[in-house]
Order: sequence, then C-alpha cells, then structure tokens
Amino acid sequence: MRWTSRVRFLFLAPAVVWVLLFTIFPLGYSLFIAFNKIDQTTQVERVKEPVLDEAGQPVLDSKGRPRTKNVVVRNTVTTTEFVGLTNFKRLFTDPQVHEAIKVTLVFVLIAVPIELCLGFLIALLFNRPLMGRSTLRAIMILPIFATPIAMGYSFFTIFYEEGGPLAFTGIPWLSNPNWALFSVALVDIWQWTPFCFLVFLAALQGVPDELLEAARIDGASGPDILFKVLLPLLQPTIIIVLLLRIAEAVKLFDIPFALTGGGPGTATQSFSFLAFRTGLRFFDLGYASAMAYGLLAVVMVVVLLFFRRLRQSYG
Amino acid sequence: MASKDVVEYASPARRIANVAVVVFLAVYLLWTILPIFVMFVSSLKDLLEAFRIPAVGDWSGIALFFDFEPTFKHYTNLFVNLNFGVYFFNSVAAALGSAVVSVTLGATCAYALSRTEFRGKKDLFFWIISTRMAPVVAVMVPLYAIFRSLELVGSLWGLILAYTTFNLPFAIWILKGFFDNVPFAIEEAQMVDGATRMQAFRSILPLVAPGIGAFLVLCVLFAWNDFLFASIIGSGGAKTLPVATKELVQPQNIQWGSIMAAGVVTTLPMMFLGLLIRRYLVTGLTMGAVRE
Repeated sequence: MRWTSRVRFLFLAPAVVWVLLFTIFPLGYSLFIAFNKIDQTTQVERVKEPVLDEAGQPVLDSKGRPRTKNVVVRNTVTTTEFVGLTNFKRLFTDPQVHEAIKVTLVFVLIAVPIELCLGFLIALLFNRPLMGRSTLRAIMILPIFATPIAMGYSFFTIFYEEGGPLAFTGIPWLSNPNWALFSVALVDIWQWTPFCFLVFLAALQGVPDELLEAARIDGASGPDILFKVLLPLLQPTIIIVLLLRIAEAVKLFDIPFALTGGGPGTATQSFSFLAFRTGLRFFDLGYASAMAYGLLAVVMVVVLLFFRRLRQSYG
Repeated sequence: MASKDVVEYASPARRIANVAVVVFLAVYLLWTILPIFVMFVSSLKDLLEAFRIPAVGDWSGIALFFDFEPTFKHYTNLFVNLNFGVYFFNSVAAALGSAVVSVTLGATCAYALSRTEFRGKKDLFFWIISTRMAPVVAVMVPLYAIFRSLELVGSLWGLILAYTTFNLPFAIWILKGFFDNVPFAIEEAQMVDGATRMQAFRSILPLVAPGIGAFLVLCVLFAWNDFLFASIIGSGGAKTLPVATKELVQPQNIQWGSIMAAGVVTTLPMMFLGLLIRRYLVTGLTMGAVRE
C-alpha cells in the first residue's frame, strides 16, 4: 500500500509544523536576542492637552484662552542594539555564572550517582520473593508523581531547623551553604531514586532465570553474579538511565526555587535559576538568552549520546 | 525459584543479612512516605500543633505528633477564600487540553512515521527527541515575547499551547513505538478491501488505545507538575496550582497549613493517576528506551 504524498503530508504536517513553529522559531529568535543588548526604558513625558467639553470643543478659561491640563504619558521604549558576542563573552567572566555552574555541577555529581546506586540496590532487593511486593513497589514509586514545587515546601518544613522532624540532628539543613545544596540534592534523590529503581527492576526482571541458574551452578558467588553477569547485562539500561537523569538534573530549577530560593546567598542558585532571574526578574534578556544557549549546548551533548545509545539498541 | 530455595540454606550470616535487608527497605520506605505524610498531616493541623515535635529519644512522646484535632479549615480556606477552585480548574484544563491536542496530533504523525520511510527521517527523530529534552529556560525568553505579542500571556490557551510544545514531541516519539508493534497486515487487508488510509488508521486505533490512554495520563502529569511555564505564561489570568501554591508563601506570616493543604490538593490527584498507569511508566519515562 503506497502512500500518496498528499495523504502522508496531511498526516505529518500538523504535528511537524507545530513543533517547528514553537521550537525553531523561538530558538532562532533567542539567538537573535543573545547577540543584542535589549533595554527597556520607560520614558515619562508631561504633555499639555487642551481640555475638551462634551461636544468636543476646547473649554476656554476666564481670559478666553483654551484651558489645558497636564497629562502624563508613559512610553516603554525597547531599544535593541547589536553587541555581537558580548553576551557570550560575559558568560566566561561573570563570577555569578561560574558560581551557578559550580552549584549545578556539584548537585549533579551528588544526586545522580546516589540515585543510580540506591535505585539499583533497591531494585536488586526487590527482585526476589518479597511479601506484598506489588504494594511496596506502588508505594516506592509515589515520589515520581509528586509536584516538585509542593514537595519543596513540604521538605522545607521537614528541614526546618527550629523544631522540624530532623531538627534533632543539629544539622543546619538550609542555613549552611554546603548543607543547603545537599538538602536540595536530597529532595531530588527522594523524587528520582524511585525512577531509577523502577527502570532497573524492569530490566532485572527481564534477565532470564536460566542465566542466573547456570551461573550459580558454575559456582559463581553473589558478587560474581552481580559484577560479571548482571551489571554487564544491564549496562545499556544503566547508561540510558544515567543520561536521562543527567539531562534532567542539569535543568534543576523547581526544588531550589521552593526550598531555598537559591540561598543562602547564592549557594543553591542553579544555572537555570540564574538564567530565569536574569531574564524575567532583571530583564537582561540578551544575557539570559546567551546563558540559555550555554545550557542548551550541554543538554544537547547528553541528548546526542542518548540518541546514539537508543539507535544502537533498537536500530 | 524452587531450586534457589534449596541452595539458600539459612546460615547465621544470611539470617543477619536478611534482617539487614528488611530494615534497610523499611527505613527507605519510611523516608519515601515521610514528606508526603508530613504534608498530609500538617494540612489537617492548626498552626501551633504543626510544629510540636517530641524531644529526642522521647519515644513515648511520638504520640504528640499525632495528638491533634483534625481540622479542614485550611482546605475550606483554600477553596472558599483563595479561589483554589479556579486554579484547580485551570490546572485541569491546561494539562488535559495540551494532553488531548498532543495525543491527537501526535497519533497521526506517529502513524505516518511508523509506516513510511523517507529521507531525513533520522534527523526528524533527533530533532523531536531533543525538543522534548531541551531545557525550558532555553525558550523561555522568546516564547514569552511571542506569547505576549499574540496576547496569550495569562490565558489558558497560552498554557495549552506551551505545554503542547513539550508534550507533542514526546507523544510522537512514544506513539510511534506503539504503532510499530501493530502488524501492517491488518491495515493492508482493510485497504485491499477499499478502505482509505484514514479508515485503515482508525481501524487499528483500538489496538493501541490502552497505550494512548496511559500516555495521555503521562502528558497530563508532566503539564500538571510544571512550574516554570506556568509562572511565565500563565501568571495573571491562568494561574495553575503550583503557581498558586507558591503565591501562598508571603514574606510575613506564612500560612503553612494552607500551603500544605495546597500541596495535597496538587499532588494527590497525580499520585492516583500515576498509579493507574504504572504498567506504562517505564516505557513512558525512558522515552521508550527501556521496555517492561
């Protein structure tokens, strides 16, 4: 059954045009903004306007001159000035950007490995007869669905240092810069370890029993089975999960927004957070766009690796 | 499994290991539930009761945490005084609207992609998948500018449009996987009998319907939990629950009871929906890279 080209076009076009319209166009526009310095200034002017009566005729004062009133006119003037690579150059010299990159990087390096290891460990423990396994599994995956902003506030009360449930530890969860970043990571670990667990469990259950049986009969010990059978077998899945987690984690925004507000100081101000603030709080649109492109470049590298991996597995 | 039982005799070391496993899992489950539980309980407490925590080591004092008169005043406050009914509706409309648009447009596109070969298909896929994974901040500024000039800022249509932008690529990608699993012979037979392409497409829809349904829920989930788009595009006229929750946090006199109640209202429906589609979760969350 051949497709007539018109029918195929009708099937493909709506979605493709939509995605094109709302990705390529904004990205192009964003690039344009990044090469410019955009200033929005409000000009206030006082203008004398003649006072009109109901019939539209000028009202005259006692001396017979038209009466005037002062009207304040506000004009928002947006000036666009081409500045070339200036915004991108700023990225390399701005200490705020360096700080935000460091924060994001440390966050990814703490959260992602812990999520993967913990998720794998729990998946291993779940991959055997266990009482009420499907119920426990359902409870385990609840955090995946939780709204990050709402959980951020819930964790805020948990980390509350004057009487929260974790106050007895004496740890300055949110007031110490280093601990605050760790607390942010902890929320992410809370939310996404279940995702790693879920995927690893699915992969583990796909490992044929005979294989493990054979390994055991050949005298393989527990660690042998783990390191020489399971890990190599699950390697593609592990890489997929790793890449997905990295791609998500570098975009960190919601959790610090709700939990710490980027603070104390800028200790939990992630790169996305900084770009958000620069663009939509301080309206330095050109610079924010340049930042966004920096982040986009990093994510695209991860996406490229992910895509390659996907094509290797599925052709 | 039977043979495994024979091999695993219970040595003392193994017994200790088993206990350790159970303890570890129990602690982890507790840690998983704690924030949800705290949110839920706090939403039913008066302000003073919420921060009454027993002293360290005072295990009998743990009852103090549960010793409160449950009050629904925070919930009534949300819905009666703070317009949360409207925000709830906004969240539902934006999430469901974008999910329906994404799945409808995505299904036809995915079907065509699944059944044809053409030059540049690989590039199209790469572009689609990168759109899904690209950071929101990358398009935030231009999207805001575009939406403002179209007067879509602060409107539900704007939000639906914005969410569709990230749900649609996802829909195309996942639904193509579903269609790939349907044998072509079914449509072929139909079309030999004189059905048009559209009729053939419709005839196989029931086969992928469960997947599409689950996927619809997943789209709702992503849109519902979003904060960034909602705060940029929806602020003003189309406040969704996460944004409304955030606005309860005022510099002075933070209403923790109401915030926690808002958290429950926001989170609970998604947990319920999420559990409904848990069979499709692995496929959905890994972009089809891992199948259960």
